[in-house]
Amino acid sequence: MMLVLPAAVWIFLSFTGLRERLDFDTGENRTKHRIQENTPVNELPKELEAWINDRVPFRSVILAADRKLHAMMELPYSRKIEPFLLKYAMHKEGQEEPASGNAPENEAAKDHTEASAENPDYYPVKVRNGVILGREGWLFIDQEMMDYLGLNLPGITVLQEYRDAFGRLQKNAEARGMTFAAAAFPNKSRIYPEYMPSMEMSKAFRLQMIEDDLKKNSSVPFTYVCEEMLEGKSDGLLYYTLDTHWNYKGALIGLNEVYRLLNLPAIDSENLSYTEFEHVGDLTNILNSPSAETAELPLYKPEITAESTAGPEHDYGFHERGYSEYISDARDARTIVMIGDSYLVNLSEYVKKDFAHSYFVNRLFLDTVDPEIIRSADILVFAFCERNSTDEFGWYCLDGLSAAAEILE
Amino acid sequence: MLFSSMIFLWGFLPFVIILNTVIGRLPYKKPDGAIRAKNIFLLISSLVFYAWGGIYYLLIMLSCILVNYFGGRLLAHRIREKRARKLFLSLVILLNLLILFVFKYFNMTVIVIEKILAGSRLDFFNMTGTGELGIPEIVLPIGISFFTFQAMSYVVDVYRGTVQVQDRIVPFALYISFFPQLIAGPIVRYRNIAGEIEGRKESAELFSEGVRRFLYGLGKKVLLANVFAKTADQIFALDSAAQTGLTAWLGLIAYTLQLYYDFSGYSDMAIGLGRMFGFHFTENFRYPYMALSARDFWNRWHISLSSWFREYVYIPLGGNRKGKARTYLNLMIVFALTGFWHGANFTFILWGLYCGLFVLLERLFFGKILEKNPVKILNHLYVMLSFMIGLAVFRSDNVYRGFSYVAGLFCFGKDDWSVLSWLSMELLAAAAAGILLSGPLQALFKGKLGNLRDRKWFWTADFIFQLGILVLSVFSLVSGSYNPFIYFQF
Repeated sequence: MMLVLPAAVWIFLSFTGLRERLDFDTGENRTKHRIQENTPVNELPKELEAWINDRVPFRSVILAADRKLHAMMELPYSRKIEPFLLKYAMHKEGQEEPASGNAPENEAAKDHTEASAENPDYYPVKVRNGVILGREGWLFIDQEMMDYLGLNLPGITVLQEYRDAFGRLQKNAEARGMTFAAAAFPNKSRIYPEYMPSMEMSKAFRLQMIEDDLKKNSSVPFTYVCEEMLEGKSDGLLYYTLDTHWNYKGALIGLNEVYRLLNLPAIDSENLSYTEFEHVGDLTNILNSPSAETAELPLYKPEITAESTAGPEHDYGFHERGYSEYISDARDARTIVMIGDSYLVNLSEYVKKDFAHSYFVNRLFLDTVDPEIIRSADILVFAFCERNSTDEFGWYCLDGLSAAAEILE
Repeated sequence: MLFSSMIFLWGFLPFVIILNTVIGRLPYKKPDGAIRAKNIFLLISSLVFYAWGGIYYLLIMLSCILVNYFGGRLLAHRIREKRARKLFLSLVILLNLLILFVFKYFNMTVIVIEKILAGSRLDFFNMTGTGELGIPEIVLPIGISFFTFQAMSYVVDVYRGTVQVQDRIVPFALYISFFPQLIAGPIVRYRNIAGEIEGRKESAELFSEGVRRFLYGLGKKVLLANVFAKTADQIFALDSAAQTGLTAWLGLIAYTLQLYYDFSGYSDMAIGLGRMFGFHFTENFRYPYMALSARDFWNRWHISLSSWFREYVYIPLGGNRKGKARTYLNLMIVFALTGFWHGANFTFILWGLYCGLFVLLERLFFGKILEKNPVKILNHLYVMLSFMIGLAVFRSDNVYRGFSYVAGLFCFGKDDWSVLSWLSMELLAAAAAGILLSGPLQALFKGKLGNLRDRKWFWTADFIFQLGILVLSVFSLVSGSYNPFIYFQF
C-alpha cells in the first residue's frame, strides 16, 4: 500500500490539473529521459530505469523536501559545530597563522591579500559533487582548482599553440574585413580567493602567462579581464555566491574591457536602469540544496530590450539551438558576433542594445550552427572563461578557435 | 535490478506481490494447484529479475540450473554404485566450479599468466594485465558466487542422502533463482526450504513481518551504507601521499560500517522478501561487531557462507578429526577459499588468510585468555581492530595499495586536522546511528523488548518508524536520480 498508493494518487492528480503544479522544475536544466526508438534490447532495462527514475510520482516534491532536509541538517553543522571543531584542532596544533594561499604579485590583488588576512582561520577543503564549499557559504566549481593551484601552467608548446590558434582566427577574420578581439574571463576563485578554503593559491596563472605571451609575441588583441575585476570588486559583488558565473556587474566590467579593445566607448552603468530578478545558482542545483542568495539580495539585471529571434528562454536559445540573436534600433548598424561560453549570457544583455544586429554563438555548437552567422560579422569577438583554457574538461577553447577559423577560411 | 532501486520498489515488487496473491486465490482442480501456479509465477518473475541485468547472465544461470537438476536426478535415481556416484558427484561439482572459474576467475588467471610471461616481479600482485595475450575480459555475472554455491550444496546433499531429490524442474529452478536471495544471499540450503517450496503458508502476519524486515534492510542500505560509501570511496581513492593518518582511519571506519550495513541490509531485505512470499530464510548476520573473539566473529558474520564452507569443505577435508596440524591446515585452507570467494584478486586471498590466522592464533595461544578476560571491551577492541586492518587490504585494488593504506593508518602528523574536511552532519549522524545499531543498542535493550511488544503504543511507534524509514529511503533514492545538466561546465 505504501508504495502503490502514491502512484495511484499521482495518476488521479493528472486528471485534476494539480499534477502540473506538483511536477515543477527541479533545476536540472534538462528534459526528462526519453527511450530512443532503436534502442538495442540489451539496453532496454537501463533505459527503462532512467525513464522511470525521471517520472517517479511526486519527484519534484521529494527533491525539494530532500533539499530542505539536508539544509536543516548541514547548515547548523557548518555554522556552529564545524567552526568549534576547527578552532579546537587549530588550538591543538598550536597554529595561529592562516593557512590560506599566497597573494598574486600584481598590485591590484593586494586588496584581496589584506581581505584574506582578516579571515585567518583555517577552512578545510570540502568538495561535494564537484562543488567546493567555500567560506561563508560561497560555492565554487572544483574545475577551477587546477588554475587556482597553478597546476596547469603552460609550457612553450602550449603558448605556441595559443599564438597559432589566435593568429589564424585573427588573420581569417581580418581578411574578411572584420574587427577582431579576444577575451578571457577569470574564474570566480581568481577574483574571490578569500572565500576559498585554505589552499595554497598559486603565484603564477595559466591565463596570465598566455596573455603576457600573446602581448609580447603576437598582434592579437587579447585581454584577460582579471586586474580590472579585482579592482572593481570593491564596488560590489561581481559574481554570484552560489553560481559559477559572474553577475551583471561583473559582466559589465568584462564587456567594457572588450569594448576597449574594439575602440568602443565604455558602458556607464549610471545611465542604465536595473530591475530585480530571481536567480538560482547552478552550484546549488548540482548540490541539490536550497538556493538562497542571501549574500547579495536583491539581484539586479539591466532593463534593456531588444528583439530576440528565439523563444523567451532566459538565455534566448544560447544553450538550446546554439546561438541567440538580437535586433535593436541601435545607431551602430554593424553586426557583432561573439563566440563564447555561458559567460556570454549576462554580457549579451548589454551588447544587444549597442548594435543593430548581434549574435552570441555557443562555442560548443560551432559545428552545427549556420556558418553564415559567423561570416556575417562586422565585429568578431572570441571569448572563453578561464577554466576552459585547458582540455581537461572537454570544452577546450583552442578547439573553438580552430572551428571558428575554419568557418572563416 | 537492485532492491534499492525505484523500478524495483515502485514497479517490480508491487506487481509480483499483487499477482502472486491473485494467482494464489484462483480456483484450481488439484489441491496443490495454487502452490504450483505460484511457483511458476515466482520462477518467471525471478528469471525476469535476473535477466534485467543482461540476457547473457540468464543463460549462465539456466545452464547451472540444468546441470544441477539433471545431476541431482541422476545421482538419486540412476547411479547406484558407490564409486560411480562419487565420480559423478565430482564431475557435477567440477562443472559448477568451471562455470565459476570461467566467469569469475578467468580474467585473473589471464593476468597472472601475462605477468609471468612478462617476468613481472615488482608488481606481480597488481591486478592489471599487460594485454599481451589479447584475450578479452569476461564480464562477471552478478550473483554467480551465490547460485553456484547453492547448486553445489544441493547436489552434495542429494548425494549424501540428507535431502530428497527434487524431480520437478520448476521448484528446483525456483530454489536456485528465487530473486530475494539470488544476487546477494543468504546462501540457502535446499533442505531448509524444500518444504516451503512445496507447501508454504502465507499469512498477513508473516507478510507484515516481511515488510518490516525489508524496510529495515532498505534503511540500512540506503540511509547508512550509502552514506558511508561516499566517504570510504573517496578516501580509498586518494593517493597515499595525500592521505593522513586520521583520514585513513576515517575511511576505514566508514568502510567497516558500509560493509556491514550494505551486506546485512541486503540480507535483511532478502529475508523480508522471502517472508512476504511465505519463505523463512536463515539469518545471515548476528551482530558481528559485538563479537568477543575472531572465532565468535565468524559465527556471526555472513553465517550462510561460513557454514557452507564448514559443511562442504572443512568437514570433508577432515575437520578437526585428523590431528592438530591437519586441523590448522584445514582451517587456513577454508579461510583462504572464503577470501577468494569474495573476489578474483590477491587482496581477498590475503584477507582470508589474515582472518584465518587470528582464528588459528586464538586456538593455539590466547583463546582462553579472551574467554576469561573480564574486561570485555578489550575483547571488542581486539576483534574490531584486527578485522578493520584486514579490511584495508580487502577494500584496496591491489595488495601494494592495501599495505600502504595499512601503513598510512599509523602515520600521524600536522596535517591530520584536514580530516575535518570529510565530515558532515549526515556522516556524523549516520556514524552515530551505525555504531549504536550495530549491536550496542540491542545489547542494552536485550530481554527488555519482550515486555514492550505487548503494548499497543509499541506497534504504533514501530509503524511510524517503518514509515519514516520508507519515506527517508525514498527521498534518498529519488535524490540519487537527480542529474542536472551542468551547462556551466561549458
